[in-house]
Amino acid sequence: MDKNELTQRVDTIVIVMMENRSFDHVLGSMRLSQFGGRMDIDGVQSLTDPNLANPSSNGTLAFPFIAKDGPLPNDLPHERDLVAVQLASSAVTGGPTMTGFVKAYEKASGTTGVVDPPPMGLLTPADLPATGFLAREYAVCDRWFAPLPASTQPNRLMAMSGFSERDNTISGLLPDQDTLFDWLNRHEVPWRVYSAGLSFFALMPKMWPALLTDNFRRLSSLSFDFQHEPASEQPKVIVVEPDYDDSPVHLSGHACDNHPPLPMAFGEAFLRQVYEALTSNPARWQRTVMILTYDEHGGFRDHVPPLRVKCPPPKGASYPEFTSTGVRVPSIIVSPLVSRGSAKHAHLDHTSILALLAERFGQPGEQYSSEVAARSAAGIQSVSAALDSGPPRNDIPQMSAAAISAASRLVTWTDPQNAMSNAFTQAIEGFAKAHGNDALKKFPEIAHWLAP
Amino acid sequence: MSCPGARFMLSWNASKTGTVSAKPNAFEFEVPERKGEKSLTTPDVTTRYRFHIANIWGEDNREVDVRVPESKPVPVGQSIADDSARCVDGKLSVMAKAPPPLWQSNLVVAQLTTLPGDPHTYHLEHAGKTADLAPGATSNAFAGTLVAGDWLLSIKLEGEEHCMADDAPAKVPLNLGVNVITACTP
Repeated sequence: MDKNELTQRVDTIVIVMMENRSFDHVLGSMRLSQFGGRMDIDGVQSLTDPNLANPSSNGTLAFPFIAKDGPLPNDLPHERDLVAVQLASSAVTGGPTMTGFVKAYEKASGTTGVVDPPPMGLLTPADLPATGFLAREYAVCDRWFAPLPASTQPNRLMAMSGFSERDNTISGLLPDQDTLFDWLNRHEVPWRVYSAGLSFFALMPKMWPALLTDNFRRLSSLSFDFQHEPASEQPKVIVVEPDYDDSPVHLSGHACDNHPPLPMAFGEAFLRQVYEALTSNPARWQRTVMILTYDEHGGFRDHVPPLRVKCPPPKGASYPEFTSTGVRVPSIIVSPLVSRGSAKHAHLDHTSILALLAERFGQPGEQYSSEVAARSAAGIQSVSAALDSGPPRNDIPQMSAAAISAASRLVTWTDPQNAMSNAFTQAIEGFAKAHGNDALKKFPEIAHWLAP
Repeated sequence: MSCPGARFMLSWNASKTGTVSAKPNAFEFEVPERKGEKSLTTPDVTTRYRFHIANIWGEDNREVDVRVPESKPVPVGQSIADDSARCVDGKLSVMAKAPPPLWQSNLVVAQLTTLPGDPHTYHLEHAGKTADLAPGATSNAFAGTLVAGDWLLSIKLEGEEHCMADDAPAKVPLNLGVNVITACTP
């Protein structure tokens, strides 16, 4: 879809970014005959294909297997050093073989020869009723990669800014980078964030004043706002955030971001809530593009090698240059502007969203930034490459509710203690300290958590 | 690791007498002495033996597993990302090591088969022996050799597969592997 058509047909762009799952893990099984036989999707064609196996450090080969959604025994490794192990570059091919996910898992967990190791697990549409529904009814993007072969903070910074001052996740607040909200403000484009929990943007101190404004709202108001807000007050860009597993404060009772070891059932219920809210206003939905993606692969195996896209550190940062994207992540375009059950093969990553914003809301020919332009020159396309030309669909498929309520009868998970949870803790304490009663008034759950 | 039918000794040293039970082949016997041992026959499957004692203040248990090798094939293999991988003159090779659970001195090779769906003919070297294994075939060439040790797996590249050349990246399988079926030698 070109800029003219984009301007004519799209009013609202909705961004939903979940946590830590790979494409094959979430959507790969749809290619298997027993789970849909979607040969148009580059997923897993056979559970016994030797090319899809990963050797264990004990000499056996582990094959992909059909897993059941549920709490995982632990988080999976996904920091830069172990992602390099997962990509498993070969001197024979001169590139990644995607055969090191089991070895990286064993290294991080101190195990060896585990039967059905978690990185090799494939979930199925039966276990993921919301994701499966969206994949069936809208467009699966099977060449959407995390921007960097690294963990949460670098990849989310890429999504927020188009560059990252970090190459690893650390126990600290995020650097105050220029974000998409700064870009939107400069272009006078109204935006809003709806959060099921504490916003990820709380990790960036410069965003704390904005958290207190009406630009940051609870997910529970999305449906009402989307249905009833007058056109003059409607945001053009909406970020919808799950309740993050790494946050010690849960505004919706429990996390729903799909970050292991959390099961995905809560995330499925979250996605249904978002979809139902957005489709509750058919006229507005007709001109809406919802982008569902994941920040990074979270240590789960995928079989498609990353794209060769160089990413040098920005000015002031000093990490070694990245030479490729990260691993493929599950991504679905949910919109009347894509055909039912389609697959899109355009090369995309999180900066493709920023490119879309520039295309839709910038001046003709304007790039989002020099960093995003560089990725574009290296072959990363705008999300517009995944949108169909022509008028929008008129149908609004309805998602089954019963399936999710059955799947969500799962235990909640104990909050993790790691670098990200430490970062969230610092953010909450810093935010509360800096903004006192205003912070606690808007987020009384923080007061409860801070209480001795 | 013990072979089915082989005798093994179960010994205990406790503060009082108790009972021994086993799972999954459920049976139980009383232990009349605080300290002792009993000769048992290795069952067909890995079995957990549990020593249980109890008195008026509570109870305690100790468990031990008698591991029996599974009869299902074990896929032994290696990625071409391993340092041992070579691709020369249309031949791809890699060195695989049998997994530690198969290093027991009473475990020998019974048969080898190719992995399902693998279209390649393998040339295998292990324990001073060599053999070729066609797709879907079964080989007894290594029968009786210890599973432990290095396995050199080589294939001749097929069809459009080729090693890396100046003008073209390599197009080769990402893993080489075979199924090893073991046998016990009591």
